[in-house]
Amino acid sequence: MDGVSFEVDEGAALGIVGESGCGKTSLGIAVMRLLPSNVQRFDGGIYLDGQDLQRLSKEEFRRTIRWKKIAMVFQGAMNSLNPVMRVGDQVAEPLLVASDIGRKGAMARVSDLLEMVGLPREAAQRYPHELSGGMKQRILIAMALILNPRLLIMDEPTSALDVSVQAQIMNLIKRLKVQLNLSVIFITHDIALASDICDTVCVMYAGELAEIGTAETILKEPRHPYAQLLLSSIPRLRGRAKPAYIPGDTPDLVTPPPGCRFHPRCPYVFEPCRIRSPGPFPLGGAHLARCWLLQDSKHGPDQA
Amino acid sequence: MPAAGSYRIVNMDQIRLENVSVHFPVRRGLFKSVPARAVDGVSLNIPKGKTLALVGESGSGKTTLGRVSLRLAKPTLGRVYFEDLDITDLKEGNLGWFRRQAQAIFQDPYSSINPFMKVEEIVAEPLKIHGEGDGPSAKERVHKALFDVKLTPEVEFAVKFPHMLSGGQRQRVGIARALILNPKYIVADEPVSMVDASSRAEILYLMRSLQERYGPAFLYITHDIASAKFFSDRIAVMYLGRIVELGSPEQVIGAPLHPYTAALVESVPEPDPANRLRERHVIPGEPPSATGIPLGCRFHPRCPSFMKAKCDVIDPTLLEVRPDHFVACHLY
Repeated sequence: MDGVSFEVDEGAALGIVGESGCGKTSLGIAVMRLLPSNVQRFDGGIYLDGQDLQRLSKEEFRRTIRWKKIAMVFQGAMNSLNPVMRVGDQVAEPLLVASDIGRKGAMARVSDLLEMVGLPREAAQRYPHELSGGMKQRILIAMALILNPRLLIMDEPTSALDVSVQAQIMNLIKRLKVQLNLSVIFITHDIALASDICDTVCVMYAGELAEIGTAETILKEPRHPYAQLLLSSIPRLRGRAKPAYIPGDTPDLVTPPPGCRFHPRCPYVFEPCRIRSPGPFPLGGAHLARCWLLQDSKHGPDQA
Repeated sequence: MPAAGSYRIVNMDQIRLENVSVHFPVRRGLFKSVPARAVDGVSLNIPKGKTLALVGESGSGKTTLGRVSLRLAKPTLGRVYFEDLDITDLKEGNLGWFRRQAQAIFQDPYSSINPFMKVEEIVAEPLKIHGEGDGPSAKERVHKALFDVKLTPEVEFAVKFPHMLSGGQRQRVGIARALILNPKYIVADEPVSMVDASSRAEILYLMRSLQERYGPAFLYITHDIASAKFFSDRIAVMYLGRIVELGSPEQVIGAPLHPYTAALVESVPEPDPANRLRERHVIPGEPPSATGIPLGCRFHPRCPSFMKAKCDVIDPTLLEVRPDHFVACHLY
């Protein structure tokens, strides 16, 4: 992952879209400060309400930010619920650790939360094996919300679910976002799914930001060739356009190609692409793209 | 009795299932077991050289049905025909000729190929099994298969190991292996669900062009109804062990008759920035398990068009309600 910047407004959702190995999950766990110890270099700042989170010590971050201000629903976490513990107790755990509310108060809060995520209050008494996939995902969302975080990071929260259940969970996330004025970072490989919730979409390729802009811009008029091709590769249920594809494979991040990382697969490749990494070039408003073709667009080049 | 949805000239069918059921015993406690009806009375046929997409959610029985059609599983009830031959009761020892004609492409190219074998060994394996692995022609055939799936230069790819390949390339190895015996019938079970979105269509186009060139019939098993639209001739929608709707992609996706199909089509997100401003229509609940199939129509507890004293009592049969468009629903 290299040189990625973005911001998420209060009550807004940012989608991080990219294919396997593009670094989207690393981005999520970097914000949570849970990167593994073999990370060679982590530069850059993470700010929450103007506060520079990188200046906090590990301990301060754990005590004041993680789960209290920023919570995360991890990919595949429905399989990491403790099988021998009632799910209500698992949801309550962060609250019991973080406050002296006591078990009774915590369980009352758990009941309210379960109702909010569309589960019956009695579900707290159940064990994970008694719940369906969709119900487990709702439990994980309740668990992430128990300390009233401001920002919720969700990494592929529906990828293990069937489409009909996926649609239910997306509706729930949409409702919670409005009801709680929650900021959301939604990490997914599925740009169509991202359009279900995201106000801003960031398309990543091989660890780099390719293009970022409002949902309208990215989904209707993307400028980066990768974003355009990714969008046209989705088989559409409505309309007759046949899905396209991008020849070739995503590069190995140990030895990424020089210049623009997309250049070996790009149909518009020209000289500078092979030599220097482009942009990001501003395209008006918060719209940015890293592509040499867009350097001389009417908004002018930016050597940032 | 011809199978529902069968083409009238029976010997045009590559594979035909008649009233197939597969029941598995599921243990409950120490001594009791209850049957899970993974597939329950399904009839379908695939004409030669055509593709039938079997669309359904997890647990709908689509993979089990695919296994039965390959005779990797034996049906509890019903018959399996390959061309006009009844292969339902053939013993493994007598199935060799059929195994040569019927191949499979699996979902996970990471676990379905041996990591210690070179690409050429993986692709040549079916030749060896069927006693054609020796001689210089075997190597030629392997190279040709690699060329067919566009793993070129073939000589270079032949000596690579699976870990040196990307997901899409590994899946091509799987396709080359399935094609090397020039089979007449191929089951592709979720062949692209582990492949990156931007490469999926490439693999599906490749399968389609190889079908045009060599003419095998395909059973394309998928949860992704949108991909079925572009890569199949007919679509069968499965719910809890039954086919609930069958027709052309235009019929099934453009004008779905079954409430479940309609809900499935509605649930698929399309990239549209307006999506975030509205909630999607969803069907409530999740499919029950195959051990607790509801009485009557098995979709009735989740159905928006539920009719009391009908849907919860009478099990609907798959009927042709429009030309070549079949549905199992009391609304029709």
